[in-house]
Amino acid sequence: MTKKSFLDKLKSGLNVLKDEEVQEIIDEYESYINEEMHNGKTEEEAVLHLGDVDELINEILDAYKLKQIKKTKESRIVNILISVVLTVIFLLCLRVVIDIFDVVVFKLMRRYSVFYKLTSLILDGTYIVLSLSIILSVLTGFKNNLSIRQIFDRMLLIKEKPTSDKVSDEKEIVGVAKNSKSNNFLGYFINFLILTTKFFYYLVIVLPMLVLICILSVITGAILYFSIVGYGLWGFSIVGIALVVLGILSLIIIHKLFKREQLKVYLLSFVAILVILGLGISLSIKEYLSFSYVDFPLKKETLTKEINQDLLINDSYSTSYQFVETKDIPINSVYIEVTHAEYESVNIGQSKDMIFISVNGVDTQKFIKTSLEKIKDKKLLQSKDFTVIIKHNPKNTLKNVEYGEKMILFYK
Amino acid sequence: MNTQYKKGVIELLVLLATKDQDQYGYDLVKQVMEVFEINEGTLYPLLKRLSNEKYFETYLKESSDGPPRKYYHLTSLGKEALQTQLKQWKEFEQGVNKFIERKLNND
Repeated sequence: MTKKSFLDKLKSGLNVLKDEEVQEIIDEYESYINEEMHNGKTEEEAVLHLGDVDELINEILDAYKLKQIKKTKESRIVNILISVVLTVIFLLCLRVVIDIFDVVVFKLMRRYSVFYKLTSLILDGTYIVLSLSIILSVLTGFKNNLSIRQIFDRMLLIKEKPTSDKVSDEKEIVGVAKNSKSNNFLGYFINFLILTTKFFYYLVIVLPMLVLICILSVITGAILYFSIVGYGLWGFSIVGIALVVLGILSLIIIHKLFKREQLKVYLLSFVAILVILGLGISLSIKEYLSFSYVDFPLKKETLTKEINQDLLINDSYSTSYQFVETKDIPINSVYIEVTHAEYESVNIGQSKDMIFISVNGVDTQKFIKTSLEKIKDKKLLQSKDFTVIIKHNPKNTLKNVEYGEKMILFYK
Repeated sequence: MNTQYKKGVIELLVLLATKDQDQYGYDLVKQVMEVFEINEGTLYPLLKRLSNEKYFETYLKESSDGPPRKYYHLTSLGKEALQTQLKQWKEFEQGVNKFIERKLNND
């Protein structure tokens, strides 16, 4: 055997090691051979004294706590057959996942056929590129006489290889399948499933979930703001916060599952947040049931009864309402000042064809509804088409006035 | 000579060979081969293992005959291992010799 063929075979047999490790070993043996030749031996004699190359490879790998896979002709054929079968399974599974993804995209984007077609094209392109690269990597593996493990390590882009510092650590042995399990096909298949799942997990789950979490955070922030300024939506706030935290925790848990790390703390947190979510939902239901709506801003109603002039008597109508005629109010209009212990103040006004109510305080919607019902019950406005404008005007700040303007109601 | 005997003792020989002076691979092979024949290639895995066990530190040194050579320097850990192995070897040798002599004399 020549020096070159010896070193080539050695290199091929050691290719589970890091490239620099292999080069170091090759250099060492090359220097042995060169020394022997320098001392008068022929190239073949020098190589012969190094012993059987396969035994040598085994001993070197043994020093790295790895074992060589014996490459007999029969085992090579078996390797090729198994690799072909695994590759076909791999490609079929990949196709199924791509199709599922395609259907999801179709459901989401069917209204925008251009985007769907574009996404579909990208998916098909990705599949073709992935398939070709996988087939090429397997064929290259056959050509280089690699073991199944090496072929699939390359195919699955598993680059982790032991270094001299890590040799004693059994965990550092190449790939998922270790030492004595170096031919564990199930291990490779699981590896491939994990990798494919990972890819689509990030694309189909992580990305949409992150978007959802962001949207949910914004909504929760808004609800929290309204709770703080006096609308009492604490139950909804808790639900929002709990959902955001649950979303983040779910992502962390799935991520840890992939990495096969400890989940105990995260699972306990998940359960704790579920309890808080339950509390939030209960509070939300209570808040929802106690909530009264006025359909802003487009509820329309026609009142046809005559205005009851009795209602315009100063200071005498009810304990909750005061109806006051003033010089500032135009003819055929009424100025109604409403006070209530629960509210700071409410003003209801009427012109020729409209009534307006200005409310300063909290729980505006509920109060306006009650006010309107009472106005109708007391036949304040009769035989007349009119418009009611309700103004929410709390705190006399510009911001709130702007907000109040959005709450204008039209009753016609 | 029985390969298993060689395997058992080759580590001791390599440690001893580097006790007083740093050696490079080829030279170590030659020193071991003064004791018994070995496949020259088999020494590298042993040197690698002993380096991993921190018995050796390695460094490159220029050579007038060709490319730089990798030299093996015995560390204090390696020296401790050498003392232990020497003690074990002596006990082993004495024990085996005594047994052989006793058996041979009895026969």
